[in-house]
Amino acid sequence: MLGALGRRLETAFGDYIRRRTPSSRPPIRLSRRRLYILPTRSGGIFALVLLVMLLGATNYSNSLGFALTFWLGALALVSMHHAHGNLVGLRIDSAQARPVFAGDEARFEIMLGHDSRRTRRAIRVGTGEHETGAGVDVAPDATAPITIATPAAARGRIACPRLRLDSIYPLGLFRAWSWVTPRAETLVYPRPSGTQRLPAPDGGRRNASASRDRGHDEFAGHRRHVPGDSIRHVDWKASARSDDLLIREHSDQAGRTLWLDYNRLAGMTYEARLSQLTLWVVNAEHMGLRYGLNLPDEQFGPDHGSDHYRSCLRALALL
Amino acid sequence: MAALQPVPGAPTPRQRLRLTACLALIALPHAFHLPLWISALAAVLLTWQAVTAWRQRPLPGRVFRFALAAGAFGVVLAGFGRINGQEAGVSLLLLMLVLKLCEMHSHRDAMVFVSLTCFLLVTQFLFSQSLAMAAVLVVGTWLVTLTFIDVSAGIGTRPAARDSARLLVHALPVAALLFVLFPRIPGPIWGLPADAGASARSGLSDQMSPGSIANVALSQGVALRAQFSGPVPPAQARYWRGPVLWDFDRGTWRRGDAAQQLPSAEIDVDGSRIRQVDITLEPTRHDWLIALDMPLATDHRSRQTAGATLIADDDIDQKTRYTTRSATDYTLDPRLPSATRQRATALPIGGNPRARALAQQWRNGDTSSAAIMDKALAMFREQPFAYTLSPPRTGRETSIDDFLFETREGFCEHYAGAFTFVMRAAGIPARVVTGYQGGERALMGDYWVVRNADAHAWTEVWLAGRGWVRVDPTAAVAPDRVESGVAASLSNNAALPYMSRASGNTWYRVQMLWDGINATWDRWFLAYGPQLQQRVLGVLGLAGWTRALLALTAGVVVLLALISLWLGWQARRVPHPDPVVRAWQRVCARLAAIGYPREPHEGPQAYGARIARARPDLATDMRLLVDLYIRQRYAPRPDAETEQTFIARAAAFRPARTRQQE
Repeated sequence: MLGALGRRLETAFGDYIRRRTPSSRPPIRLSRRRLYILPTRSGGIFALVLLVMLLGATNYSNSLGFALTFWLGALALVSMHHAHGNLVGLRIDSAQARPVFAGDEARFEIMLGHDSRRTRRAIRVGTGEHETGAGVDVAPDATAPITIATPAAARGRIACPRLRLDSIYPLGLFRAWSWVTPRAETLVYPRPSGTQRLPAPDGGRRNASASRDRGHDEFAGHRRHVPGDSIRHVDWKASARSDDLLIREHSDQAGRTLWLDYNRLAGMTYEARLSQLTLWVVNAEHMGLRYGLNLPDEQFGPDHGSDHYRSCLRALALL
Repeated sequence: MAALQPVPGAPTPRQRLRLTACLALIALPHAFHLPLWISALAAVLLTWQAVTAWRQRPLPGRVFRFALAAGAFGVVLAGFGRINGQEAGVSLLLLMLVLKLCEMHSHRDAMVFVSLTCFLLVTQFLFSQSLAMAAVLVVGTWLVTLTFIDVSAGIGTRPAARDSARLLVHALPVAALLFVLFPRIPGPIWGLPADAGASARSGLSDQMSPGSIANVALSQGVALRAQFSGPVPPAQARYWRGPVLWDFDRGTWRRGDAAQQLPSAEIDVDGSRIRQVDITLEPTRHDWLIALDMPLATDHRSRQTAGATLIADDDIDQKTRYTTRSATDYTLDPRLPSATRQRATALPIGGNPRARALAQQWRNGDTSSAAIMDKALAMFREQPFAYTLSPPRTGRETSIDDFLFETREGFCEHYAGAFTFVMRAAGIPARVVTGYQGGERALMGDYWVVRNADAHAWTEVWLAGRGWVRVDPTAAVAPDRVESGVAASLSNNAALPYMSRASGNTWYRVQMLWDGINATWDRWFLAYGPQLQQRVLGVLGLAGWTRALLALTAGVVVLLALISLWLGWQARRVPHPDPVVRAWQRVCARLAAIGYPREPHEGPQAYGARIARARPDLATDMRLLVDLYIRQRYAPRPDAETEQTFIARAAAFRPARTRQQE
């Protein structure tokens, strides 16, 4: 009963906070209106100790006891304002993340800064679900980077999550915090997966098995393992001597053009097709092939290089 | 919300080392009054904790911790026979705090530890409230603030020291306001333990036997400090009235419970000599208030007994400041109530037959009470009586006879006791009055110091038509005692405390100067309790709790608002003094707004190059801006023209959000 009430209150409170923190484009400056402050549990314990000290000082009519109790009480009150002042005027200068594949984590790099002369202490940035450990100090005229990881489940765009900036500086008796939602997003490419082999280059001058047979003969070098590489192509002996998993590359795979065609993947679900195409794009790019991507409404390439690679993946993410 | 509360983790070994140091420093003054074995045990445990933290060893397990706590409990119980009470309680708290250092698994453990360390700090003031303890308070508060910051923010010792000092200064006015205005309730609330307060106190007691006042006179301490408004009476008239002793039995004079039921004294004030004296009385653990000569009124909650002594409603357990109005010309009890007369002439059935016989002989020879009194004083004066701090022992049952006829050496209690006995034996109402006599002017400040060494006892005799008359038989033997103090009147004063012997040398002056500082401290700080607070509030125009509380709330709100404003002013945006830098910052801000913020590690050139790569449409502008900026900012001789060009260019620079097709 109480638990249910508590959950409803929490939901209502969360909704209220969400309404109050519309997403906005960085830089975002924390204003007084956005700041919340409450005593921590340790602050409650400290208040209890102060109460006992006050009773003791009264009982013993002890002037120094009163003086200490009042000074500590005043410290707690003043520390509340310091905790508040520590966050007011703090800025989120930017929030940026590189595109990721679905299933990975989007890592938003948050830049904190401020214009005041005093170093802002022990600021923690989190999403509310998992903590980020120790806080950072933001010196005057400096920026401090904090990385917020958020799981990217589905392809498309992922927005920067709502951020909770908080600090228990200075005494740990009060917690000041604020919610901000920086308007920032990044692409989530489809998860590279699939069972189909790369299509044969240039309209199938060779069949797949011939390609494989010859490929095994003409070893060209090693490259690092990327998601989507078949485990069968790993060169275990070479990998053992290196920090990375290494993939055998074959000379015949370079310098050819191949078409990654959406229509060739009939009989699969839509998302599975996109995943397969993504895997192909990733592999083709890493093998240094010239490849073109053929989507229902668009065509890319044939080309190679990081711009082409990103255009293809972007199209797949947003299709 | 619990999941939304990220907190710092468990204290690191380094932080545990600092926590240990904090506790050791705060517990240090306790070593002066706790038993040696407790201090030694705490020191050993603290050293063990420090070594554990220093070597980064893991914390002990739960079972071991529990065994240690139970052991500490048992040690205190065995050593003190109890776990409550002042010394035992503080010892237990100290040991438990040391053992809490073994249990530092979370930030909250550390916070609880520091909070309880504050409590350990306050217990020191139960043992002493001297000026030195004020220094302990300041240092201790700073230490706990520092430690709070250390465990909560982990920002390094130097910034933490600075920040804690800043917090302390900001908190001081609020604390002062709370100290003055927070409603004080008269204590005690739950009663004091038997060993409360500073140990080894001395002073007057409610009984007097041979040697008891001489004992008090041997102690160094200050009994009271007095401030006269108006002329100060001469030394021989400075009698400070304390408890009156009515009952004599087996050599001891006692205040007597039954005497407290007697009708209150009736005082007729002749003349207009009323003196107002402000008195700061050291704690006595007794209920009487000391006052000059004949107290008429006081602002302390009290009543006046049949002996005309002021009796406070509560025991004086702390320094107490009160104002008295005293008369030096008066008639005390012009008519003696019969119950009082009966009490004032009562003697035990037997004992001291020679003294009784002497009194009877005088009574038979002459019927006038005044004449008998003079005969007794003449006996002290003319026969070889001596005034000494270390008189020979007298028998318990025969104390008066032994003194009057055998030893003839005594301190004031011998003379006052014997004189009163003889008066009663002659049928004259008489009683012993104890208190102080004399006192000396302080070197600094307009006040007088009365020491325990000034403790005195004299006699009051009731004479028809004159009421109770003060008779000081000691003055008959050693007139100097009353005029110049104990030191001048004793032939060999080596046994007296230093302060009552030496006067005039430098060390004495330094001591008196220090006493002056202490007196101010006592008068305005330590004596600030419910009564003084009411008076101060009255002066401030805040009489009544409603007004005081309103003023307190308003004051605290205003002070906190000022602190908030000050912090806000410090957190304001500070524009860079150089207009060139400001213009460059504007350029960076505009680029950041379209999604290209400058990385903290990027210099202007690297930044410009990155923008040019990502946005070829902005390349020309960026190249120019970066070029001008670097020339203006880093060139040996910047010129005004370049500066104007750069600022104008920077102001005009408005990059489009999306790439412009060229």
